[in-house]
Amino acid sequence: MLVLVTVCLTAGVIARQATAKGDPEAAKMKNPIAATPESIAAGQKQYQTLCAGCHGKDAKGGITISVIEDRGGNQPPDLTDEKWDHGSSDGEIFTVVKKGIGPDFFMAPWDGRVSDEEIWNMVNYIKSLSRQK
Amino acid sequence: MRKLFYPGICGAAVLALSVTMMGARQAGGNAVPIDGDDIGGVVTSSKGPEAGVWVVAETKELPTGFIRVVVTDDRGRYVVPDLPKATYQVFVRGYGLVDSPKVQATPGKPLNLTAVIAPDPRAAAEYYPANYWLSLLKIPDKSEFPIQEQGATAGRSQGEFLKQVKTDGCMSCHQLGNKATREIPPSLGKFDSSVAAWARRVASGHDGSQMDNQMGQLGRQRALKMFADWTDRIAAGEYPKEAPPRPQGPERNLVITQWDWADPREYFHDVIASDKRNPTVMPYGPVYGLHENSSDHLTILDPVKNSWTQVDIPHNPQAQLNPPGGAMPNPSPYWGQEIIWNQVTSGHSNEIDQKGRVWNTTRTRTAAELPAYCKEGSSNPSAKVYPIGGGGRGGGGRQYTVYDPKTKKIEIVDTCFSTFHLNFDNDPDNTIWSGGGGLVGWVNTKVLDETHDAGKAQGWVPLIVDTNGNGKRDAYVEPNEPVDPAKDKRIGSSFYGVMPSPADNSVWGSFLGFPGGLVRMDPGANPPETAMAEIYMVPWNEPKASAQGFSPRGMDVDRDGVAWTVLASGHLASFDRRKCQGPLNGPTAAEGKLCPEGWTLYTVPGPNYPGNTDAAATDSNYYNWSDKFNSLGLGENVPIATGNDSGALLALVNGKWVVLRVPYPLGFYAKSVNGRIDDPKAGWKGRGLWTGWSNRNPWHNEGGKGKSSMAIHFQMRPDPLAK
Repeated sequence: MLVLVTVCLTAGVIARQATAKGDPEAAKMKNPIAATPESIAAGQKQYQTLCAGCHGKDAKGGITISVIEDRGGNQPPDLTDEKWDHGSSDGEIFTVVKKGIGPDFFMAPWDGRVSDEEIWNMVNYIKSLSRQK
Repeated sequence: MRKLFYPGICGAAVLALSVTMMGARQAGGNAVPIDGDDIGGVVTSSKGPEAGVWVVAETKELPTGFIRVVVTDDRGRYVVPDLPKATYQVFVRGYGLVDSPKVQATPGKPLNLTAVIAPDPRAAAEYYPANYWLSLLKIPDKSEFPIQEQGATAGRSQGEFLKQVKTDGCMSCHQLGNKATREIPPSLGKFDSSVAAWARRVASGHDGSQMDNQMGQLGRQRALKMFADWTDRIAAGEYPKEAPPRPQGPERNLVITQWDWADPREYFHDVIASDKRNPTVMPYGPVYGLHENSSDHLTILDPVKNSWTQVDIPHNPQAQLNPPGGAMPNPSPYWGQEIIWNQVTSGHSNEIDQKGRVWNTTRTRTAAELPAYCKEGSSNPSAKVYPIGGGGRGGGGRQYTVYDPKTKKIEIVDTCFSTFHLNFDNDPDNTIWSGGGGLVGWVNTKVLDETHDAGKAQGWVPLIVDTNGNGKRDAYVEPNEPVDPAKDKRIGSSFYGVMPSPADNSVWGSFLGFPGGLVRMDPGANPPETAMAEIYMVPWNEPKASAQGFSPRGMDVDRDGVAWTVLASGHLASFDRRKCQGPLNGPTAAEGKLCPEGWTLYTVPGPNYPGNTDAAATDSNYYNWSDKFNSLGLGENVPIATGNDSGALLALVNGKWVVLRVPYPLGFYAKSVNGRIDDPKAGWKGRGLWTGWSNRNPWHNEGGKGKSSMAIHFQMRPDPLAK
């Protein structure tokens, strides 16, 4: 379940507000990196380094992350199922990884810390997980 | 002797009289009476007797590492009482000093010690608590906010930035200002700049991506610059000019005992020794520590035998629990590429019930394995009102595991709601409360014991505020919807800390955020349908309030029904609902501003950041607990905060702070406190507080890599020489 949830602060009260929509502009982006075994392997390596701490070694989510839990946020989602709350296209996934999910950015932006090419490799790896099911 | 203190520590008691006489001879007019299992004497330096300095006795000869620390009186005299039979390394530590050479000693013999005056203030400062070093950190000026960096959610204001540095981000794991953090270790590598060094440092080890993300929330570039400037100035010779005060008054009566426990890779979250509602439960019994992200163990200290053991915490064998990450952004300067944490149960907090069973909040399954009794169609009354597992309503997180010391077995109690902090109610059903994900949940343990049916024994409710002001639960609007005069309103906040009030039927919780606040929930006669919540924000930019603060963390409710919470602003705050003047429901009730007059803020001791900041102190305070039964000896109902950056527990006694500092090793950092009265008739020896070292990085503490965390017992004597 790819439920990337935003939590907004309204009137001083944390209000949970699930956003279940994609990003039409991001969806137009074309993945410049073919999903070759090499790209998927590179993405897997990057995923294990940067993402697995929250989404788990096998990307099934459910890891209890205290900095999210403390603030009442939902725990990191399963990236292997068919649900994509912020869009399932390569471009939308790329944008989520690159820019994060506001306003609280429990899903942090990786822009500036990894290259676009590395993010596309991660996209290819993540997409390969749902294809394996 | 067993009734007085732990057995096995009796030395040659029959020699006490002669030993006392020897002591008298040796110490001349400063006679320090000791028993055969004590070490005592006088501490003097080139300036004369040293008052208010610590004497540390440490041994590795027992089944686990053991340390006892006391403080000298106004004539420099000390007694380290009731030591287990062993050879000890004894030395003096104190403000204005450097450590004295370690002296080998055995109990029963007087031991005068020579303290060493620090050659210069910089050398003396090496022993200062971390919060003094952190007071050199220059927080960005208010004019710099909001920080214009993508993802800088904590850079919206200086207060939010402080919250993130203090209790919600960096210092929820680290004691910033300790030697490991105020210096850049050479093992980190060589860098073009200190900014680059910090960028590399925060991306170290298996938690590196998390730490790096925390930096992003602050505004990465600005935060790196801030930390780099701090360590640069310290490397250039800057040190805290304000010296901490030496222990005074009752602070000199303290006896601190510490035991090494668990593998040095394992860090602890909570520690529990007795039933908080009745601290005479499990006298002289084991002490239980729960590891969070580091292992699936429950670590058990036997303070009588000075040893520890571990049991494995189970999970549902059918559950497809997903272990955390298997790689790291960069090697750890301490552990290299080794993945030192290995767990799936993610234990957090624990409590002991009236039978001595240990309730742990641990992960036992995934959301996908949610029991049917949680879901729509279940006969559970809460599931009828608020079913789990649909509409994005979680069902994952943690549940309960319960360790029975009689059977040595652990049973799973599968809850529909996620558990977190937990506490028992004072009701005949021994209800236990916890919650998460916008829900407050309970288990009626009487029903559970009778039926062994977790589905029948539990319930949960969302937090709903009486915004239509009719005094009862009605249909409600969601948190993101405007108030409807015909309905109530659900608030999306989750309890962080939770505590049922001893004074009435209400259950209180803290919720994090900025400015954050407290929630009081009255369960009513039929909680799934009657529970109502009141919300009280910490006063911030609130002209009617007597003081301003922000961002709670832990909390407790004392015997009078007064809620206490520690704030990231550098306060311990009380909220007394009896002071509220106006109506507590109505259309603005969900905004939480109906009773600023209920709040009183107490600035925690120690220094503050330089300049004009929104903080009142540098210290970071993770949790607080009220000593309802005078387990320590400073009085009933005394609120005690953890001083996570000051290496102390902070007791507020009649409006004045008593600082219970742990001077050795440097780095003490607690996330829980509780009391146990082993023998109500045994005076100070029969009572005390229990907690543990709970920073995530024991290798940052004095002793470095390989030094394990410790369980710790605080006891308060009637005077510094009581034995």
